[in-house]
Amino acid sequence: MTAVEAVRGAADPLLSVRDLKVHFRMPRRHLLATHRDTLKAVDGVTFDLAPGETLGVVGESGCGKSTLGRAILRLIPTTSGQVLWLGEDLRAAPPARMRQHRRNMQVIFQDPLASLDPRMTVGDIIAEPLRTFHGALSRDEVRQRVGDLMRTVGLMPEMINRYPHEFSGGQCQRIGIARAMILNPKLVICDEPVSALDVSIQSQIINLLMDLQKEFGLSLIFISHDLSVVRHISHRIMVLYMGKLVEMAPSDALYDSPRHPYTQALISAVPLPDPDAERAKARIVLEGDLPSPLHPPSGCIFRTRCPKAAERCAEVVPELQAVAPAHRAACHYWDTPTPVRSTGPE
Amino acid sequence: MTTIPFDQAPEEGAAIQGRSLWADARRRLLANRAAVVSMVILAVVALMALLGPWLSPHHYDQVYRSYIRVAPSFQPYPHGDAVTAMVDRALRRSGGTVEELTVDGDTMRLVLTGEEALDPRIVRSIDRSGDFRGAEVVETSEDGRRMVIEATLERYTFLFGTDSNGRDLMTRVLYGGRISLMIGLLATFVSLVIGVTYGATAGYLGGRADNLMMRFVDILYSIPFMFFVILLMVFFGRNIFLMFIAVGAIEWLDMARIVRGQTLSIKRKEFIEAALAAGVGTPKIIRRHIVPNALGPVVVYMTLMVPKVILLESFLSFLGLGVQEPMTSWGVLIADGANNMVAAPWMLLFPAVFLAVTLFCLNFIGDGLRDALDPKDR
Amino acid sequence: MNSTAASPAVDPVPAAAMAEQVLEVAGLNTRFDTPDGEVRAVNDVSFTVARGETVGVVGESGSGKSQVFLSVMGLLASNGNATGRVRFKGQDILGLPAAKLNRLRGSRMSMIFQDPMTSLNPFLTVARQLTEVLVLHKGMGERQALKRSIEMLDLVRIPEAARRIGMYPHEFSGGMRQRVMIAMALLCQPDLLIADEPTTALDVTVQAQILDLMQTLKREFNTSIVLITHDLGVIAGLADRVMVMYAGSVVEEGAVREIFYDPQHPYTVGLLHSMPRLAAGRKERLVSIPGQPPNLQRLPKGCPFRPRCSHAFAPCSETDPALRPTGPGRAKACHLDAMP
Repeated sequence: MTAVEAVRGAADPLLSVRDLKVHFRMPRRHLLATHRDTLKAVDGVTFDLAPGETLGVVGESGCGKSTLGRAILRLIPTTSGQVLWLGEDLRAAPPARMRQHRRNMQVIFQDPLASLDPRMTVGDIIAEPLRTFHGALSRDEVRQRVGDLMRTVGLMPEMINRYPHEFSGGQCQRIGIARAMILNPKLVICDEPVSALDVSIQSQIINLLMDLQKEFGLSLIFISHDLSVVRHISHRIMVLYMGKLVEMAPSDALYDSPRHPYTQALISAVPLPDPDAERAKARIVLEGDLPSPLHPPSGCIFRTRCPKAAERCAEVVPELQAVAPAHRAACHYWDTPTPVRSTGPE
Repeated sequence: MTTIPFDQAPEEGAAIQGRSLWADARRRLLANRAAVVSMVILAVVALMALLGPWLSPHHYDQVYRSYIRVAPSFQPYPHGDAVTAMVDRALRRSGGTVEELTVDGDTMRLVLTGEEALDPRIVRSIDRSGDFRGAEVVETSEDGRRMVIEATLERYTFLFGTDSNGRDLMTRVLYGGRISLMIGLLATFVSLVIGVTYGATAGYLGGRADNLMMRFVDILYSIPFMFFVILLMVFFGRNIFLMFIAVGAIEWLDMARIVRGQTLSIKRKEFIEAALAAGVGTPKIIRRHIVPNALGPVVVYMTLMVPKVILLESFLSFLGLGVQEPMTSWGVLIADGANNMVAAPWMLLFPAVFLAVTLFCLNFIGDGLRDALDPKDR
Repeated sequence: MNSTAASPAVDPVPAAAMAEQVLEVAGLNTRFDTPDGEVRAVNDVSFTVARGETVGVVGESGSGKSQVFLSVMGLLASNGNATGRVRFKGQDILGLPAAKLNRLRGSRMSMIFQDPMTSLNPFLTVARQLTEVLVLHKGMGERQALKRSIEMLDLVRIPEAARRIGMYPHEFSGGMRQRVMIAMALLCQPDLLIADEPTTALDVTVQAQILDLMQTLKREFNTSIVLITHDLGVIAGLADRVMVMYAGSVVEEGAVREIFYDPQHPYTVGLLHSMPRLAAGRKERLVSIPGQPPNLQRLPKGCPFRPRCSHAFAPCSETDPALRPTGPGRAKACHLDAMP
């Protein structure tokens, strides 16, 4: 299975998410309130993930990208929709069945240190999933497998008895990756795995993830706010805005010809580490902040910040529509140009 | 197989032993002078309480009628003229008169005269007084009206003096320490077990279960403690184990609240989610991840709870609800001492000093532990 | 965009000779006493900031980039100690008593921090916090101060500034709070603005707004700006001159184009190459700097970057290379004469 096939969706998807919704009911404002606000953290997201594919999920804070990851893993309750794992709906799976599925889907977190239990040795941390699913393994076997994996992720097996606080951030993230890999999962959800790391360490971890993917045929869901990183690692990318999928396309298509004005703004906002290009580039500068997620605007949720919002946007919710092969965007006016502001020096 | 370069400069040796957070904390604790000194003192006090009553020549409930409320002294009793009074008391009903009394070392020599012939059985009443032993008649005049008796003096050392019943205070203080420390530790342990289990469960489950469990705690909180203890006493009689239960049953409420608070914050840490994602079950998560991480503040609170419990016990005993005579505890001794404060200040001084030193030490250790376990506050 | 004519940073010219130098730092060393030993956070750092110039300071965590400027501002933690010479507009300010420093801080030089929430007092309205600065430093009356504060909020493009000024910090979004912080820093029109990771906590689109704003302010006020960040993209857009820091020392310094297009220190080269580029697709492995960031308590002998450097040779493990000038306005701390 090559990456190209994966993008084309030639194979049966490993994971299919259908109209997934995660709504949180907010507490009553006061004792006698009859109305309770609903926060739509994820609101009708649909996508497929092929084996061996990396799907990037981008968006700003509060767009629901982390919630989406956790909802797929059933770490938080979902409201409606389907999460199909090789055709079987995980949302309907009984707990015991779900537990069996967990061995195939693992997660890597943003804060490398916080994701490791500070009271456990590195060996125990990495071995925890192993002991949960293969309780019969002897101590030596466990140790052997942990040691092998530590070598694979670039840690010295001699460090097996050390504690997380004795490692740097990058090394902690390697420990987290080793824990995620020990059961040979088919899917790893990476929730901002490099955001907390220094630039020079980020690239080590990204390379490691790409190597592991190649070696073990992993599927990755790579959640990040950093578009450059997502672009580098992903085959396909989806852009979320306030819980809704606004655009989804193969990585190159998304960056070369973004169709949704939000995606366009997002891409143009990324500062380039190149003084000439950065100063010469045309920007789409969004005005204002995210609207309150408790009271989203009518029609298109992006219209309050959109440079080309029209009347229709306030009335009709734009559906995701195919704008090119394998490229979908949720905008009424995706084929009209977006006004651009040049922010070059005087 | 992809090879990814090693990160670290190789360090020799097989598996390197890491330094756990506990080991780190221990190192920091041992660097804290006040805490270390406190631990040594506390160990000495505990050892004394443990072995003292056993090594002491006096039994904790042995009454010396001749030595009521005697002052602490390194010199063995009886002192000076006290022997005369003791002999007088021993011979009160024998009808003889003391003509001459000499004390030579431990031997007392007594010359008795009487209007009538003296009964040689008089030695028995001398022995029976408890102040002398081995009394025997060494010489009797022909008419039997004069008798020379020799007896060995019983000498006692009361380092801390005696109490108003003539019991050795040192033995009682050490014995009382045994009871007080035991109540402190056991009640704390009881509250620890219940509180940690309850608090961690409530905090981890969250939602409705948490609500119910914590409301139950609130209800227990609202029961007046004294009322509860008196009720227990009425139903089950006075019993030292009831004390443990009563105190432990009250103290676990605080512990549960502390642990629940800790759990709520630990629960949101990503390593809990990682465990969930790895399919680890709820009881295992609580046992393996929540409890060890919540233990830091718990240990600190424990060292502060032991003195609290000891004080509580003292208070109950002071009110007469706690330990019953002849058993004793520091609280009972202090209450007793307070009643005799003017006549016998040592009766208050010694148990109070022991209690205060113990409380001080525990508090210092608690402070040291807090600093050691939470290095961010340094 | 010039003023790179500044003297080679290793040997700052006395203040009298170059009047337009706003900040001159020479031989700054900052040490922290910790229970685990002394931490050398800043090692012999020298540089100048000219009037109207924007200096970018790049470095990873533990590079000492923030500690340099906390030392300059006299805001070090209590266990920190800074030695060396710091001149602000010709006046020695290092070790100045807090009372005197306070007269400078907030009026002649200001600092904005990464987290706008913790920098604002949550119990006071924004109006109180802004006017306080003006009343204190400028001796303005309350009404005048309020008017000026509203103007300032307008300037940093806070909509409905007159209404919003009465609100509390938590009623503002993250981007808005950072605007408030910038407004507060600029209230007294300082000569020097130190921005410590001003956009790191913000979303990309909001970051773009703030960078946009800083660009405008730079043009309009001619304020000298020090921009501390780990994000090379932010530096590329705003800075005139760049200082690259590693393990408490400046390892390379130069005009922004020189640093980005002709980096001379292996660390700078590695840093630039390890950034994933938006323009490039998903293909190649990223070039990465091997190893871990330095531990300031256990720096290796010789060059601190040696363990991670692919060009290291014999002298690197012997002596720590000093920062030496390599051209006009350029300097680097490396034993190599030129990058191979």
